[in-house]
Amino acid sequence: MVAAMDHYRQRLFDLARAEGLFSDATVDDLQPDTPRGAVGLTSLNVILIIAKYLEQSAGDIAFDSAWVASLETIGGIITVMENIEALSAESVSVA
Amino acid sequence: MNRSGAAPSIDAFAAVLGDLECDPQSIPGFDELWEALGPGADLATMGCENFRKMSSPIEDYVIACIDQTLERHGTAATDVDHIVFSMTDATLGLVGPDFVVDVLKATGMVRCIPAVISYQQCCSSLTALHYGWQLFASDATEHVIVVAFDFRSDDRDRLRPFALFGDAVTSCMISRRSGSGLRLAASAITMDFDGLIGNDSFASRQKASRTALQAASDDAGVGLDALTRVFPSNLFKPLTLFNSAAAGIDKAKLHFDTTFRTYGHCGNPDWMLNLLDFEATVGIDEADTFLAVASAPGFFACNLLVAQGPGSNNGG
Repeated sequence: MVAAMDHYRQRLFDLARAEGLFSDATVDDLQPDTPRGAVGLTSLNVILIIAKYLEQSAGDIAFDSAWVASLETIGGIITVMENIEALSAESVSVA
Repeated sequence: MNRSGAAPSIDAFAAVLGDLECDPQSIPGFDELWEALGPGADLATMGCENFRKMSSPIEDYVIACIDQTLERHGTAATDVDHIVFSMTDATLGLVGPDFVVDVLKATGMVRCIPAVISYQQCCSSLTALHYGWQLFASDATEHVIVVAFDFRSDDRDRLRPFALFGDAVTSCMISRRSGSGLRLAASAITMDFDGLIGNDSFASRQKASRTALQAASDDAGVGLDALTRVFPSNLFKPLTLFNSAAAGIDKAKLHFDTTFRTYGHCGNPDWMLNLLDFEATVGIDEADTFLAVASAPGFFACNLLVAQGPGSNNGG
């Protein structure tokens, strides 16, 4: 579980960096309970990151309301990234 | 007086875009504006390559668009009973006091009653279609034209964190003429005051969209899984994808890539531009079911449209 969190934390950091975000933050700043605003992520930044996952995903992925509400923290963002990947993998294996 | 007795249907869609094809880099101070307003990503990744800009007064484009709808429908201007204009709040402030008289005079719609629907940002055109449809509660109503338009007078106002604005006009006809066309099966809009004042959240936006979609789905008795295609507002591609997923709309059903890439976000005309593009590239079949969607800070609106075959009379 911790390894998965570290994996996605690094992924989130790399994605954000690729978009020119997180100029001051480090991977260690991305703790699960950290509010996204505390590391400089606006709601638009979060949408960009999640949309990148959606673009690459297979099948119809509708957001659970709990996912959406959770996007206010780093841990929530990472959970949504994980969920999209898991649902996408299911779609591919079914197809 | 009910002259034909037939149920209404919607067709004769038309569009007139801004005549100048522009590159976003042509906007004065583009780099600084994008750095200040943009979400941090390169504009090229947002799905918008160009935008259209009007070089003449808005009346010229509106008149040309109405003429196209009249011609496509084969109806004389003097037979139009009502015309409903729709636009964003910003465009409403740019329209001159003689606008309606000039348009009615130039098109020859001399017995047509005008109305305007605004203050619902990009959702205004969906409400305008609903309003136009409701005018058929009177047996005397035979022809209603719905016009949606938006434009910017200052290029620096085109760039927003959620989209790059272009200029366009679209229109369509609602009439009792028996034949193919679309039936407005349901219409719903929600307002989120937190969004109006910039205090909305992911959760409040999702609630607004799901509430409207559920209401339209219940009214029409049609589930989102039964939709043929969805015509959204042309916001930056990542936002459109995200908003759709949050609303519960399948991304595979979205039809907006080409129009957004070529024209930008044209505000109220967007859903009609997307419908026209779908009609031209794929074609509309009998019993196709479409969802026209618009979203703006504080609003979410949707109209559920069902294609009818020739001679159908599905009730209004």
